[in-house]
Amino acid sequence: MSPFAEIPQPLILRARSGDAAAFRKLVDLLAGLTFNIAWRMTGHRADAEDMSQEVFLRLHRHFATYDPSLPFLPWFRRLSSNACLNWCRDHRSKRPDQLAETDLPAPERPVPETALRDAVKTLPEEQRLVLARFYFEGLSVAEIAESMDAPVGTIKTWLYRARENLKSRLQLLKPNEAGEGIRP
Amino acid sequence: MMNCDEWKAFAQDYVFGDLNDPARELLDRHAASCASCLGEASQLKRIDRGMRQEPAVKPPAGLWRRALDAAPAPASRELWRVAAALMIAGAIGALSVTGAFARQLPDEVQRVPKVLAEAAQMIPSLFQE
Repeated sequence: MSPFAEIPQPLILRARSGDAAAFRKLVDLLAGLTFNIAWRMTGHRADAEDMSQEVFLRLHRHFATYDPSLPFLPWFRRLSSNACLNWCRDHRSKRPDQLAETDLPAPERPVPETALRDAVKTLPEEQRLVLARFYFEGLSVAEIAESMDAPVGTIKTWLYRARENLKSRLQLLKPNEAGEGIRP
Repeated sequence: MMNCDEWKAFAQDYVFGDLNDPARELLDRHAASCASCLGEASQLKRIDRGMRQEPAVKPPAGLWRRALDAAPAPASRELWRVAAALMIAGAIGALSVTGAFARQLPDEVQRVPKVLAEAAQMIPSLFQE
């Protein structure tokens, strides 16, 4: 399923009114987007699943605050940004860069070409979220600013710093590792 | 002539196309003569490409589960709770009213025959048959 599946407004309204079946369908439509953002922030499948569940738990709890006269996705992005960043703050004792390789399911254990992904894991959570929104969702800096309730200048700074940090971390690797990691 | 520190300050704008033509030409001239800065630009481009090429992952099924399992009781159950609370409140109210009535009952009971007699006098036809 495409992470950017169309979401019919009647479905949103039914889910908002407490229809459990509609809520399940809505979550299925948002799952690709949400899980991929979580995956890019955690670099770990189980953590990405946990983070995604928290996003949808928050959606269910706060659905009544959504104004149906406004577009749903920007509202959902704001809600999910908060949920993702809170999740990271609550799980700081187990930072992604400190995860053991055995935490990863077999198909996702780091191999040399994951150098870039490993470098992303070491970034502060705001920078990881900005990268995910920019590169995976393809949002503009202004849209990211809206989704994170932050000024455009701040998002530009986070994006700039994220790239600089990635460059520094990859330069610490041997040239062939860095080269493989970013798939030239 | 631009030096490396000046060039690096604008490296991302240079690589990601956020510069006007005169500024770009200035940075182009420095990059053409500086292998280190050219390498930086190349590294930034590769990071950008790598980030864009990161494949999408398939989400697991049932991401709605925690939300629906941990959510407060559904609306229908909430309605039953409200209805039950109203019934209990009504029963308590009725009992308190009945209690107050019962305390006054002896006087009322004493007045019943008199009231009936008065009513009978007013409507004699009711008792003639």
